[in-house]
Formats: sequence, C-alpha cells, structure tokens
Amino acid sequence: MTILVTRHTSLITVSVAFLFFIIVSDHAQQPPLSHAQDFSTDMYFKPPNEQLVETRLSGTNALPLPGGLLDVKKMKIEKFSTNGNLEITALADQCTYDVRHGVASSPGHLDLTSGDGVYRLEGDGFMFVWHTNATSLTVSNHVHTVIRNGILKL
Amino acid sequence: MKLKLFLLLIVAACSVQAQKQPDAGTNQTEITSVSGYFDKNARRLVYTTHVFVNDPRVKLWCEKLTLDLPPQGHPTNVVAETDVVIDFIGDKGETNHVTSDKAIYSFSIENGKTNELVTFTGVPGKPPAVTTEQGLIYSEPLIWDRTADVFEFTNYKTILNQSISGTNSLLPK
Repeated sequence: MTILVTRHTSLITVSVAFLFFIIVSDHAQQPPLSHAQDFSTDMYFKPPNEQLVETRLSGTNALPLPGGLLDVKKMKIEKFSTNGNLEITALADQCTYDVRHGVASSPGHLDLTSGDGVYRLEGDGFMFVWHTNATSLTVSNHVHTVIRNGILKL
Repeated sequence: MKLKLFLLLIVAACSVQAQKQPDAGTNQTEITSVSGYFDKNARRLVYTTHVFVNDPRVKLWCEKLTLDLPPQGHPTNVVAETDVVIDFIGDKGETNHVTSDKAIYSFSIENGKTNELVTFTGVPGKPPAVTTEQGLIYSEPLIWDRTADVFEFTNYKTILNQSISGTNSLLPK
C-alpha cells in the first residue's frame, strides 16, 4: 500500500490511503494493523508560497499504531527553501509520527545535515515538531555538531 | 613615563597573538552537549548542559550555548552562558584563558568592514578574568575585539606574574 499525503497544514488531505483516513477520523476505533510502504507527508509554505513544499516527512514503511500514531521506518525529513533548495535533511532508523499533532519522535539516533553540508548534527532521542507557525527539533542526549567552516569568522 | 610603560605592558600582556590561518581541512568546529534544541523560525540552535566547543583556535566550556544562524554564512550571534571558560590558542601554542558568566560573540559586516567582538560579563563579585602567561586581569566587562586582536578593559585589576629571577616577565628585554 502506498500512502501519499499531498498537503499538511492544519488539515491533512489523504489522497490514496483509506488506512490514514481511519486513523484521523475515528480515534476510538482500533486502526487496522496494515503495513504501509513509501509513506510521505508534506507541509507547505504560508501564502503566497502555499503551492511550495516546505517540509517533507517520509519513510520506507509506516505501521499504524493506536491513537493516531504511525510507526515510521527509515524516517527522512527534508526542509526546503522557497526556491526549492534543500536546506536540511534529517535521518533516523525509526520514529513515531503523531499525525494529528504533527510530531515525530524517537528514542533512537538522529543524523541531520544542512543542504550545503556546512552543519551536521547528530544525537540520541529526538522530537521533531512541525507546525505552520512553529517548527522545532529537540535532541535529548549525546548531541554532537560539526560546523565545517568553523563557528567563528576567521 | 611610568604610566606609559605600564600601559604598554598591559597592552603587550593582553593583546592576543596574531594567529595563522589554519588549513581549510581543519577549519571546522565541533560542539558537544547533553541536549540541543533547534528553532526553525528563529533560526536558532541552543545547546544545553555540559557544552563543549572545539574549534581550531578556541576551546569553550559552558552550560548553555545559543547560535543564531543566518540563511547563509557564519553565525551572527553566539551566546555562551553559565560557568563560561574559554581558551584561546595562539600560533606559538600559548593559551589565553578567560572565565566569565556570559560571553557574547557578534559578527557583522558594515560598509565592507568586518566587526567581530566577544563581550565577557560576570556576576557581582566575580568579574570576567583573562589569564595569560604574563598575568591575570579582571575587567567588567571584558571585550575582545577580534578584528583588531586586542582586549579592551574597564575598571580592570591586574595581577602580574613574577619570574623566578625576580624580574617581571612583562618587562621588555
């Protein structure tokens, strides 16, 4: 099964996945434990760039969990600029994605790289919050950053 | 005359040694901490708890480090807070050791001129201090003008080291 979420702002439009519809619309029901592949959901810029993807969260597999959660394998988060350039890529083996609240979290390892390769950040245990008005990333432990050109202008 | 000599000695003691440009391959900064937070809208990175910055020329320890990241280029503002310790490594291997409660690094280019300042501040009763091989200087605030490579002192207090022979190590030879 392929899940493709075409727009993610306050409302999530589901283009293909009936499975996803069940999760979002009926919290009381236990979602079917179907295994989904090629999961992807996008968040768009505010107007006037509302046609452009700002952030994409994807994974090779997504397993529905109770409470509107998805267990996403091989998570990949990409942040784009309005000119389409890739600003940030974040990779993790697994994350739990809260569809309704737009929160991806995991106790596992996270590897984040800026699009230009200048910044690289890794750590263990993370929570990625992506709302239209506030997108943030918290890394809980063993944070290690490498800034290629140095922190100071020398 | 004595005053001039004293000021000259202070400047000599506190000026940071000119430092060579490191190889491009080694010009990278590593930051480690227990935890970190990135705010996309504010373009701000915040590192907390046991923060250590390992730079080719600077070693920094603190409990909180905040970096403001412009869309391109170097961080324009870096703030280190709580138990700040910074070691500047000179080209001859000498170390300038600074302690403070807070250190603010600011970088800007105005009219084609680069401005780089590091402002150290303390808490009441514990002003920032810089230790060189020549002595110890307290100043509130303590400002390091990286562009000019000099320290600027306000209400400073100096403690000079004495050599084994009894001559002041700051005296010109």
